[in-house]
Amino acid sequence: MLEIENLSTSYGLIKALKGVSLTAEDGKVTCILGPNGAGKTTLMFTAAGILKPDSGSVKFGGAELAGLAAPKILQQGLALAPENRLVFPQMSVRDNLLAGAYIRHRSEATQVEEDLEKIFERFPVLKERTEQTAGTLSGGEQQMLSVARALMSRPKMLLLDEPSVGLAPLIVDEIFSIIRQMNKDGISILLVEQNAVKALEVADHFYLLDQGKVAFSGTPGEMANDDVIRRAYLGEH
Amino acid sequence: MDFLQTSIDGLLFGSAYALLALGFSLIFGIMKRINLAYGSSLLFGGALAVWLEPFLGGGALGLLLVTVFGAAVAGIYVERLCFSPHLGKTGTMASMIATFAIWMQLDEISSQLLPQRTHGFAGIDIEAISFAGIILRSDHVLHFWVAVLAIGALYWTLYRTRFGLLLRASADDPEIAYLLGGRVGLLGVATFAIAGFLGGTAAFLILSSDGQITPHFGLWSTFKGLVAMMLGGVGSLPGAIVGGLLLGFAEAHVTFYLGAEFRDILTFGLLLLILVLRPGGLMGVDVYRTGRLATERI
Amino acid sequence: MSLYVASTLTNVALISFLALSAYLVLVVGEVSFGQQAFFGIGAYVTATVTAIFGGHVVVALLLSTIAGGLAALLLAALVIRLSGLYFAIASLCFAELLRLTLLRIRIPLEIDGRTTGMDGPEGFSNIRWIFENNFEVTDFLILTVLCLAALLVLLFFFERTTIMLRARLVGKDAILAQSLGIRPAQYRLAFIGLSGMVAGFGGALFALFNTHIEPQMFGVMLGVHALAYSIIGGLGAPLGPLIGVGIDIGLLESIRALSEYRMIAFGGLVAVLLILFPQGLLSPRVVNQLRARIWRRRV
Ligand SMILES: Nc1ncnc2c1ncn2[C@@H]1O[C@H](COP(=O)(O)OP(=O)(O)OP(=O)(O)O)[C@@H](O)[C@H]1O
Ligand SMILES: [Mg+2]
Repeated sequence: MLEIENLSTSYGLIKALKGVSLTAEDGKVTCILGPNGAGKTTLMFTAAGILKPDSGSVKFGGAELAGLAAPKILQQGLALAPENRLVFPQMSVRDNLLAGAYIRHRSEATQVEEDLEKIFERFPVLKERTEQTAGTLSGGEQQMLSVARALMSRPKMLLLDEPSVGLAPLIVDEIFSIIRQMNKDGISILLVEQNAVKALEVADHFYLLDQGKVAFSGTPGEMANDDVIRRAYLGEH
Repeated sequence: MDFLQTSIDGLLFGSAYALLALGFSLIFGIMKRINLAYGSSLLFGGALAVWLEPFLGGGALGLLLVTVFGAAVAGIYVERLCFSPHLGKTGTMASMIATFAIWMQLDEISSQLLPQRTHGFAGIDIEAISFAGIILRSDHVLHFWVAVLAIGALYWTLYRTRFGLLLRASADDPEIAYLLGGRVGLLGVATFAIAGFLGGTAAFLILSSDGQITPHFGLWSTFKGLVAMMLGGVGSLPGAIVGGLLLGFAEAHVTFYLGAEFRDILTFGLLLLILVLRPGGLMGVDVYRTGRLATERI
Repeated sequence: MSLYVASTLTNVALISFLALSAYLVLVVGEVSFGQQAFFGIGAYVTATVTAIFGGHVVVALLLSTIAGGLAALLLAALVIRLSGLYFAIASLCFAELLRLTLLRIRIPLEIDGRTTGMDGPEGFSNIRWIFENNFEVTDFLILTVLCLAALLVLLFFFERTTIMLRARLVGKDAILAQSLGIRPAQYRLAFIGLSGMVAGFGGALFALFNTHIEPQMFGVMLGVHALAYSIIGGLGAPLGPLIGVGIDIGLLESIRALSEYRMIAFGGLVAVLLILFPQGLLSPRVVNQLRARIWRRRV
């Protein structure tokens, strides 16, 4: 379980997170919604150890992660597939995936090979393109590679930052079905999305982030909640 | 026959240029910056070897080891002083000028190590091989094989080891490499050490085949490495190899047909021509079409 | 004033022209390793005009300035599409080609029993203008400083024009500049041409002062020094490059004890300075703050 408490992060004088608290349960899909600039990416970066928080705590499975370096956090089982900057463009698909398994020890080499096979089962498009240079993949393929690469470290929980951004509806559906499948296979997921409708279909629980604070949290499907989202986020009245 | 003989001589000598260019390219690939102090670190390695020669008990092996060691140490010094303090986007200019400053410094230190300016550098004496009318200078053949070995070792490291994976990943995107658990902090040092190894090897080959070392070697090797790299394609490893061989080939022919004084004119003329016609280099990307130009700052 | 001090100061002033010319290129965002070429062209033109044709010195200076500017324009036009590393290396090639060509050209002449004219690596000797006109070292120092001061005043006023503002924008972000309707290529051409003129003029004075010039004087070391002066001095104002020159020649040359190790000390000093002030001492930010402070006081 990922427990974030009172987390504040700033860029110089700009306070991007102002005391965020939220919980992502094991085995569940937790979703974070919010308008542009709400601080979603900042939250993911802080949890993954790329940004250092000013205050607050990030606990994963009871261990404190706040302030640890990114490699250490990854070793604890928390992996991030970042927004926008997706793959290593000059490296082959296979090398990208192997880079995802970088923290695993040499002794695990055979398991890494097995995982590679499993990844190719889950992402058949990648299997056909193992030796292709990643920079020449289509946007959707790159997004899948990014998620697949994060999986290669065998995380307990996957942090996905806007995996559907800029993709055609058909590919978006595919990505979400993969998310659902990964979750079924036992990986907890913390998902940041702009596509609220889609996200709420897969989410067990959601948070609404606005101007660096949690504005609302709830469970999809409850009438009252849907109403709040529609008004606060989708801009309907 | 002359043509064939000259071509072979040029290509064999060009293999040392290829090593120089590889060092440059490696640093540019990882750091996205140019290291003007590269040749000076090689000069420092060679000067150190000459200076320590009395204690090495003669023999080429000692010279080789000290040259490579000195070049690598100087490279690491350059990285610490000129590259790691200027990692941000705004640091490119500062970084380049800092390498220039250290170039001066290393050149001067090397001059102090070489008080008579021109010092002998023990050659490698092996009989020349002649084959069907072609004479192969043995030291040049040695260049070639050492270069092949060194390039093989480089490719093996880059494409067959975990460290190489991290290095390539970091060249593409250092932040994501860090996110995936790579300790990228010391990668710069490792890169400079490898470049020092490649360049130090090249320096030893060239110096021992010339039989002497002067303080001009620093600037000379910076120029040759830079030209060979730009000919082939900035930051491209196969490009560096092709560029080095091509430079050796062209220089040999110009020297043979026009005379040695035209060699450097050719070097720079060729490079200027390539920059105007195809700035990404022969093997590099077409920078005009891909728009890479705007982002590849010094 | 001792002869040594006077000639050191003159050299400081002469090299300042080159530093300012490197500065003008840096303003439009390019790095040039080749400014020494325009300096050299200026020097050779003035040498030819005064020593061979006995032309008036004003004519010589004028022609040197024009020749420097034209050569720079030629280079800029050749590689106008290049920037960053590619431009820097192209400028280096250009300068080295020029130097290597000068090494090849041998047309020695005998004038009044003295050898002069271009003589390959032996250089161009007996540029006797300062002797013929009875210039003392201090006189020449005054002349050089006056010229430099005039140039600085010009640049100072130029600094406040919209042309300069736009050029700085081109230097910072050519794509943004383009979206605002500025044509980066025009500004690059103009400023590189201008930089060639400044270098050509400085080179002309250099030839007059030294009375003997040779191609090796205009090697890459000279150009990169000029570049380094601009960068450690800072790109905020034309005074920056002069501070850079002052630090190297003024400070280090004056500490005689260091003379043998000057380059070791200078190299280390510059590297450390750049860690402390990566944008140079007079960075644009510092200059803006200073300007704001002075302005406020006036109000
Ligand atoms: N590197 C940075 N430096 C300064 N401010 C930043 C930086 N990155 C983000 N910010 C600011 O922090 C705030 C939160 O940004 P963040 O990227 O976390 O938003 P987001 O919710 O991910 O937005 P989006 O949906 O557009 O991705 C914004 O106001 C943004 O301007
Ligand atoms: Mg975001």
